[in-house]
Amino acid sequence: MSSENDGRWVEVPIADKIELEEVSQWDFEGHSYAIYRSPEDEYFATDDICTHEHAHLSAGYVEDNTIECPRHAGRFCYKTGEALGAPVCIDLKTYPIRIVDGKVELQLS
Amino acid sequence: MSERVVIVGAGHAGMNAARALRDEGWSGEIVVLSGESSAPYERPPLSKDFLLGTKTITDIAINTPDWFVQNNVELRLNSHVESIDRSEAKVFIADGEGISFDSLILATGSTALIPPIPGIDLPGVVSLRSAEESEHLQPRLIVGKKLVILGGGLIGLEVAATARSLDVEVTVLERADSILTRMMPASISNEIQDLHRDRGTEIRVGVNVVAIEGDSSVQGVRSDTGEFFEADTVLLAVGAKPRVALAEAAGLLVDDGILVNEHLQTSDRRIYAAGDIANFPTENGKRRLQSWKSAIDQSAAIARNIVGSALPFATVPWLWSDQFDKVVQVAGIPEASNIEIMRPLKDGGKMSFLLSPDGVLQAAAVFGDVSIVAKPLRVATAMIEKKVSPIAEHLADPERDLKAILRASRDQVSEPQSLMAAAANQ
Repeated sequence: MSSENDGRWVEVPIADKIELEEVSQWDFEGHSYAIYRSPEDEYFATDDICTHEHAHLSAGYVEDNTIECPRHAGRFCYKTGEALGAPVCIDLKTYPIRIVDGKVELQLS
Repeated sequence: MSERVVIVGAGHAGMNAARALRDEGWSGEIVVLSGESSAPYERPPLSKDFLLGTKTITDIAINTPDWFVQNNVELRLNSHVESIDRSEAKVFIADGEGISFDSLILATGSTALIPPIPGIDLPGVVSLRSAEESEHLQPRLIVGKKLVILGGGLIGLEVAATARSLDVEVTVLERADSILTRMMPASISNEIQDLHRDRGTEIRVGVNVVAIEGDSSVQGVRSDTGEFFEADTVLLAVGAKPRVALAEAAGLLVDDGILVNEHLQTSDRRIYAAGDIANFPTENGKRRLQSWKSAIDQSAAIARNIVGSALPFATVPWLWSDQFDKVVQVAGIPEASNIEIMRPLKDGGKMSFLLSPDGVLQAAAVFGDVSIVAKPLRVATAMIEKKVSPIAEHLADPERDLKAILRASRDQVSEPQSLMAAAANQ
């Protein structure tokens, strides 16, 4: 919990390369984030590592509001982080996103 | 008095039934009866991280102890169910206590198939279905020792990979002409075989083992041609048989598992069966699936049915296996009549699509790095679910985005336009 990170907004430079209903991995200051673009063209962000076993969710499958883990098919709502059924039972951490001057920004915690 | 669901078996099917019942809003009692002494644990790591010793029984627990309290689920360990009295709607555990139920979920899983050959009782002959058996096998995996695995299925090969990573000398003996028959196309199983051979696993197919030999402990196995394979340990991995004795004794219909309808109800509508033991109807006949995902999907479907939304169970089967640093994943059920279309994936990944003779996607399989191969397979699963008939040339072309093919198919589902388009292109 580095206090200098608290509340800092940073630009997600890869955001415009993500297609609708897709996800990409974004690494920043040693942390992996999953950046989502919903079918309604809104952006969301969560941790990229699944809460079940080690796997990058950004290699998984996006359908509507859910991300499905590539390893064991655990599903989360990427808008709220909620774990949606076995094998996942721990919710995913989410990060606020805002758009400033057409740029997508993520708030570090 | 509140209604009670009793669940027999605390594997993936049983435990997920409990969880799914609470997720679906079930407010009645839930009692889980387990014959084991350990709290419920995940079984896939038994042949991998748990066998290696890098994960403990606590690491692989399905639920935390708190979970049972928070969700008001009563777990009773060491409670082997001896009988079901259907007229009284009670199950009886070993000490004779009767527990009444309003709904009963049978999730008793499988036991290892023990081939009827001499020497099977020798010390050093093991099988792998439980944490206890994994703990028993672990100290036998020592550098330079010889492990012979009977059966070239997924569990046998996962153990082979784990043992090779510890520099154990491993020989896999498969009776059929190839490993992993039935569950996936040869194009994918050959990749797995090549990887194993690269990493030093000896794989021999067409070998029919007729005896296990040794004096005070196992020394090797003998084939019907007289060939002898030296072994310090023999792992029996020739398959599993469903535990149906309880259901059979209760007079439920049993035929290669417990027969259930599309709502996963047995011949007694208050009693459900999930996981390895459930033999359920599909469009292509009756099926019994021994996979982790089926256990999860079926138990979730049963929970929905008990709570009230009676939807037929119709989830596309899916399985995965980790083999060394690669994964294999299969969706749908391959049929001998399928037409195979191959698609190359990045970093040497392989993908196989299996179409019915009339062009509907029925199954797909991938092999490679999980970060490369899982997503295409998941898109294929959605195609199978929606019964689409994709254009074969498009599937084979790695430049064509699979999700775009899925979306295009979605718009024309139930109309065989893509087939007509394919015909028009020729």
